Amino acid sequence: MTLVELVVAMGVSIILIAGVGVLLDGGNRAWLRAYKAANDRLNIDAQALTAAFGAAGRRSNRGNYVLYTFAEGILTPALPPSGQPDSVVFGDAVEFRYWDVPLNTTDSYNLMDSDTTATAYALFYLDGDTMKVDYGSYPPGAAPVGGGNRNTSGISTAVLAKNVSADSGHPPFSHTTVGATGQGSVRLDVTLTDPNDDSRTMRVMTSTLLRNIWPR
Amino acid sequence: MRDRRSKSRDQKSDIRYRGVSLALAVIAVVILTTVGMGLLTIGYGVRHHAISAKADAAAMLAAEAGYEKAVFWMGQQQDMLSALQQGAAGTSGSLTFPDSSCTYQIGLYTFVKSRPVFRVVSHGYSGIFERCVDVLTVQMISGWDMGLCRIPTGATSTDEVNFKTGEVIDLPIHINKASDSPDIKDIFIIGSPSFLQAVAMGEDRYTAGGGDKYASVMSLFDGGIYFNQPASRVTDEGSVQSKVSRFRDSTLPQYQFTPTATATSLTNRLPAVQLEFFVEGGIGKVRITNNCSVRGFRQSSDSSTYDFKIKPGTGGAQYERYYIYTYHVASTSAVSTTVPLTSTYVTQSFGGTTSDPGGQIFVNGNVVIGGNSTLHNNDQVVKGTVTVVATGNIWIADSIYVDGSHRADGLPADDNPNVLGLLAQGVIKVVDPGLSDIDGIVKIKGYAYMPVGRPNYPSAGSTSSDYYQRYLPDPTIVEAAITVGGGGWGAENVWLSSYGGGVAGRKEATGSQDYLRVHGTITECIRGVVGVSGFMGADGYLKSYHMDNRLLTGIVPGDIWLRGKYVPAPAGWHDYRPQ
Repeated sequence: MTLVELVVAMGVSIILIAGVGVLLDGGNRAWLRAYKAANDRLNIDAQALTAAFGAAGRRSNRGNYVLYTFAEGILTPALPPSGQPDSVVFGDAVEFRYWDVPLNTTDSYNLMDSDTTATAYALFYLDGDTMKVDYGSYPPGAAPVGGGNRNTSGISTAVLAKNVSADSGHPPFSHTTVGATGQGSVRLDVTLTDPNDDSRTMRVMTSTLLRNIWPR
Repeated sequence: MRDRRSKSRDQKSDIRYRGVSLALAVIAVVILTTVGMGLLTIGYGVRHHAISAKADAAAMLAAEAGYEKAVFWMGQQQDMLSALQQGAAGTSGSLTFPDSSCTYQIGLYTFVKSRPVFRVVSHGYSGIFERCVDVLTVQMISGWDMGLCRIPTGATSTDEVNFKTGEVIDLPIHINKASDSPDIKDIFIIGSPSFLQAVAMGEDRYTAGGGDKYASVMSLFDGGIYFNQPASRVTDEGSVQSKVSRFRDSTLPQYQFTPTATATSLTNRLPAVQLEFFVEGGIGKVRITNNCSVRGFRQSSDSSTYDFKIKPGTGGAQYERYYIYTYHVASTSAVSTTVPLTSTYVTQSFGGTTSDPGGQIFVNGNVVIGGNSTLHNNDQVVKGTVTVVATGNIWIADSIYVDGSHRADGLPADDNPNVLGLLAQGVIKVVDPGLSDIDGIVKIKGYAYMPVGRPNYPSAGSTSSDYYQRYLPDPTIVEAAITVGGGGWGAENVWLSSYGGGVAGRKEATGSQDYLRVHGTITECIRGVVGVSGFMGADGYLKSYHMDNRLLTGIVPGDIWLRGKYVPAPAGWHDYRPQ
């Protein structure tokens, strides 16, 4: 092998290796992006939030849900402004009330009784920068009628997402009232932020429709 | 020799060079192939992830669309149980969308007491993804459903009926869309009545031009107001007939009656069955007197009366004066049948699913509920569960209570098991027993006068004209689920100030107006007059209507409900990914 051949071979090899290196680097970056897309904490949190919120709403009683403002552990029902029964009302928390026992063929749980409007509740609320949900039995529910301390006994709490903020200028939960009564479509609008990279955010906007109306 | 050696060396060098190149090429190809495969895998993964999220959502939306189509179809059926029994097309179906599809199936899940619970199972598909929505649904029951919030005033004319300041309406209301022109509110309000429970309107809140018809009254609906709600099918004669037919077919033959008015000398005679409900020895009973003859009375012109009903076959567009109840007679040889209410009990069965037993009485004609029983101070008391269906009118001629415990506010207690259902293809009205003296002393050979209501002169005998002086108590109380397929609920012979007939309005127990209390539900095609007040005078009743929430639990026998909306039952909604 002559010196020229060696130089040419090395040059070709360097070009090939460089090209392959670029491809490998690009592939790695693409793989990382894909991995993040599939397993990124923001993404997982967003999906968990959407799934939990949607599932709870779909099985809940439209005639018996409450939107709250939430401050210092006190839940206060969020109402439309005085004189404006038709409004979009915002809240820091929403309590869905649902049935956690089945309607069987003999109605052994007496769910068709008109005063059994729910047997359990799910309270979604923003606690600092953490989106949580309390699961408990109903009655008594998340707070006394008219508002009060958030019930903390006999409940289980799940953290749905951290680094959550309501950046839209309003509290995270909202619904539309007509004649001062919620129409059963409850919305969630929050922003999730990557704790390791403040520049990475994800806005989560979803809604859930409460079809059930009981007693009717 | 040397040249040959040199040539051989050159050939070996060329072969080695080619070998190195081949090796490099193979290595490069392997590396590039690996990288390419990796990139393809990554690309597939990214797209698979995106597709799975999108397709899963599309499958769920398709499944929900199938459910919505199913319940919409259910709301359009004249009678859902009959539709299932006949295997009507529409009990299963499918929908196709650009990126998804669904199939759904409707069936009967169970009866909770006598209330059918249906099951809708809808499978949504998008690619390889599948979601299932499995929902138990029930037909909605309201407190007071009306086809129109108007009263008939002539053959084709109606007048608005207003809710007024001071009235408290403590039961859910539904009003069908009137499709009026010009498009005005279908609920009529003067001042600030209180609507404590939900109000459902068939019409849109806004006119076609965008005008808000309800802007001035929105603050009155404390229980909320909902627009564009499916119509009550009480205005559909076919739906009512379907309910009546299924009820008749499931009633014991011995409790199906076709009365004949045999008192030929009676003026404007109408055939009827008299029912009297009472409790004797702790047992709920009904006394049945068939082939009664009702003396009818009808004003001579439309402008003289509020007593109208819908003219059959006109789709609720035309009205006619009808013969109201004045009194009735029965043959002296007639034998009244008294049976325990439980003797009338039947079950409705479908596909191995059976309702709780409940009483059913079917009358192909008119019914009078009331009588001269002294067991309950002339009141009717129902112990047990029973529904009475009539192809004609049902005349309420006494207060009707259910036996058992009542709450402090007078409504039946939540655990009270006794109930009465009433469905008429004519009207259901509270009679005016004060008309009983219209003919003076009633003397028809072979027939006996059958007093209803309460006597003004308890000691008077039948040979005295005082014997025919009768009235209803104040308040008159009716505890029942009332469905009026041929007109409205209300009171007969309410005074219309402009008429000059010889009958001057109802006879009240006290003052110019008594109270009519309803503990139950009302479903009517059009409003009926209950009472009137104003500068021209007052007559009839003041309303006091209260929802009996027990009726939601399915205790009324016969499935006589007509609301065109189905909603998930409690704990009825399930959605999941099939394995």
